Amino acid sequence: MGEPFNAIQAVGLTKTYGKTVAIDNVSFSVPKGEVVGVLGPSGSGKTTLVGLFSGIVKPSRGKALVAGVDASKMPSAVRRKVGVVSDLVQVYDDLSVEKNLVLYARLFGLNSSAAKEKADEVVSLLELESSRKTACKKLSSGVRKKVLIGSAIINEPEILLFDEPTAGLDLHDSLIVRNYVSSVSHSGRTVLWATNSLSEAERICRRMIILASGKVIADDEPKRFTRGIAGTGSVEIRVSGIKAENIADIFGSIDVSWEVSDEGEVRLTVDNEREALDRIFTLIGRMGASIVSIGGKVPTLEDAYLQVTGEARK
Amino acid sequence: MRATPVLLAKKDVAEAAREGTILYSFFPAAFLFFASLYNANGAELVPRLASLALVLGSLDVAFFMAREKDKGIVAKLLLSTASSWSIAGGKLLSGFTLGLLKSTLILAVLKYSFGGLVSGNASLDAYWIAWFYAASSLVTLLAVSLGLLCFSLCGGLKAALLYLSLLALFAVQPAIFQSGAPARAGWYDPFGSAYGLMEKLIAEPQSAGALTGEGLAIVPLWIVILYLSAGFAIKGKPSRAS
Repeated sequence: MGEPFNAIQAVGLTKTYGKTVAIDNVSFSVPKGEVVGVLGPSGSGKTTLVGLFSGIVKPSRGKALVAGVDASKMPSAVRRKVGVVSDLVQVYDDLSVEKNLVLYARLFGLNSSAAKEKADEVVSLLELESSRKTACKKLSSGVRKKVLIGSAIINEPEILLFDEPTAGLDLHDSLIVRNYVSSVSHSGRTVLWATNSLSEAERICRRMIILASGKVIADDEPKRFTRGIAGTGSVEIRVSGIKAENIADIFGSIDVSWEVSDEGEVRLTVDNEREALDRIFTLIGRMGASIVSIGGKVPTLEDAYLQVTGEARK
Repeated sequence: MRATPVLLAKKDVAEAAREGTILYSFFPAAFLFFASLYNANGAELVPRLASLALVLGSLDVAFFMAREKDKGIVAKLLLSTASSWSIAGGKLLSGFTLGLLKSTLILAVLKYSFGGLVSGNASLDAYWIAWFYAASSLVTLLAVSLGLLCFSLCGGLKAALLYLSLLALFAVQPAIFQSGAPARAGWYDPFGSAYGLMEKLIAEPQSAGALTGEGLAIVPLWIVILYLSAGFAIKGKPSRAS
């Protein structure tokens, strides 16, 4: 039987806690090798979604498929393929960093020396050398998070389910984790990265799924999502050396608005579209006019995110 | 066969040694020792007290399950290749290992307390000692497996504490309220059967070889049933999140 194309797939996935609907009839799929960000306001269902795919949380309806297998019935063969970082799971806090890593490596079937070697590798990768012999309960929450990440990647899983993996980490450690995810995505592994950080998602995810009240309200590439929701923005060009009475003749064929200042400068405002900008700059050049300044407002991912989640909240 | 239960049990025992919780193992022996100070000739109390001490001293291992579930450690283990059966098996094995230590300490107290009860009534021959370890292991494993099931079912640490007190009451009930184990415990009363084994072994040391009563069948059967049920409970309700 061939390997399924989709590493992760939600089919009508629903999770309710009593009357509260945490995940509401969600369907999407993530092909192998894709890095997908799951974003959404607090309480939107990100942690529950990761819990459902890792098999920790049982769905009320629908299916959470991982490597083609229902996560709620995940056999050990599939569990080997998945690495989970979530607040729902924890390593042994009485064990040292090294002992935790060795234990989990052994639980994934490595013998004692191979497990030790693998633990050394992870300690080095996540820069845990200084705390390798320290019991996890004596470490800061950031270092404990790194140990959890280390235990999740110790068996080099094909699918990473990361829920807020950099929460509590300093900038340097966050960069280590992001670099790791970037490197594994290049080797064809799949990552589901739930986060509240838009900049982080924009940097590492090729695709974003935005949740609000347990529903998927957007599912797109970051740039396309921003453009689709908030538009392209506008560019303002201040030009001198053009007579006010000629403006309509020069720029009339372009969708542009203008104002003339008291000093005689013309302020042109045009959509941030490459074609329109090319034509304007050509016309300005042809007229021998000078550009005084160029500015504008390009919508960010944050603008689009706030717009879409704000609408969902209403 | 996968060595996961051995791996987890080794971790539990090493952790108990490192953290000092292994000192709990002295509790059953201390319990007996202090009882002997108040009633040096109360030989008839000894089997009950020994069983009682073993049960109370074994529930802590099961209680760790509640703690690990509460913290999300069990959920994390289930994300590895460890099955719920091997997690429960690891706890049972660590309970058994620590139980051996407790039994040894109890044996020492029996020899030197209660007027040298054991040395007075029975020669501490290998045969009797083997039977003593067998009977105390059954009592220990029964307590651990019942505790495991209850703590696997409960939702959090607060509930676990309530369960612990109820369990202690239930498990020791035959010894305290029924004035010792019933002569013929029913199949529904594994603790009565286990206490019965201990009672016979200590009160009538010469009968060690004849310990082939129904308790020997009932108790292991209950241990298996409780262990399997605990495995199902861990599998069905792996974490605080669900």
